[in-house]
Amino acid sequence: MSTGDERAEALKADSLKEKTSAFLNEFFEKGEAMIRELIIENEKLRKQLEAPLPSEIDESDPGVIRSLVARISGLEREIEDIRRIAGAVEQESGDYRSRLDELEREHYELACRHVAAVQFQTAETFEEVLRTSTEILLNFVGIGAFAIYLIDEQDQSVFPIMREGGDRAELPSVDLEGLKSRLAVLGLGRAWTDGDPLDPFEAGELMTLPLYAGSRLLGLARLQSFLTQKPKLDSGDSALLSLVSEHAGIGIETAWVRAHAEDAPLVRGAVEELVGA
Amino acid sequence: MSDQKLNALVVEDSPPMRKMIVFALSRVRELSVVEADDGVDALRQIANQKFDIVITDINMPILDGLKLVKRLRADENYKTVPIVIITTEGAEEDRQRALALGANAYITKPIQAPQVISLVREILELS
Repeated sequence: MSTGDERAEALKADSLKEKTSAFLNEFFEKGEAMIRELIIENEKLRKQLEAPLPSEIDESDPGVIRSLVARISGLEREIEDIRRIAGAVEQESGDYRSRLDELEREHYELACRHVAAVQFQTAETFEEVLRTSTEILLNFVGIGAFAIYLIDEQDQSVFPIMREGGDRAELPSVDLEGLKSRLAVLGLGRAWTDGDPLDPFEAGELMTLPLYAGSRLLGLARLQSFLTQKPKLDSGDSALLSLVSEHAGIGIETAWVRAHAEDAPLVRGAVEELVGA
Repeated sequence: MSDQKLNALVVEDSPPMRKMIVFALSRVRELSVVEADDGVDALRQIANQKFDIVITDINMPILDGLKLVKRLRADENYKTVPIVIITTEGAEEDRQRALALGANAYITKPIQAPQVISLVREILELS
């Protein structure tokens, strides 16, 4: 993950923390205001109930009857007001609860993406990149059967390098150009994001996830089926798939470079030349 | 109410998955969480301290989760300690086998943090 991405992620996390804090403050302030209102209404009602009734009621006095009827009407209005306030409190409470749940879910999804990104960033070998990809697709997203293919840039073919939920030997290599003409995602020129075509590798499968390092297509993940307990993609899955599309590709490119690089000490002159200093 | 935290052991050989389970459990204030990266490491941790709940994967190298459950239930100190399985194995017979060996609960991946948190709270009878 680039420094810019890390900063963006940190800013996003800070912003989410601030939003959570602001939301909680607002929630408790509103709760306090509503409780005060309820207490005031309650006091009014009690005062009315405590007001002394005449010791003897002269049923023939129309004034007495009118005053009693007026008191009853007043009490009924008070009851309606209290019911309205209580209903509003319940409604607001429910709204805040569901907003809190939404924030918790967003928080967890962000944490998943952060952990996944860090795993890719620390992967140095092909094996580590493939293992991280497997763990994220299987454990985080819930894809039960998938295969990862890499591109042979010399003969322009696509060959399987690992498979989950089946035997890799059963999967043949495929001509890249032929595949590109079938699967639009292989011509995106960038990592897959939510809204891009799914393009299943074969009919009945889930999707094809291109693996890019920048604009360089290095391979693809053929997502065949979910784990039995996973019915469909969830709200956070697209972001994780997008992350795999970008970071697995970068990881593969990095691992390739590392596998072929010669060990060279860090030297000031060479560094300054690289940065144009 | 005692300020003493309860000790939770998370046994999972996948580093990102282990981190996410630990992240979820860190939201439970009453818990102190220790990690083990497989069944053998779990037994090493158990030898060092007592745990109040064990959360374990099944598919791990050397000593898998089901063997771990069996070993724990054979230990006098862990006969009644709650054990939660978190696994990709979704088949009913896998669930039944784990419960028959003595696991208290069985969650299938992919997991959601609120699901893990509310299950652990329920099992440990936390408010």
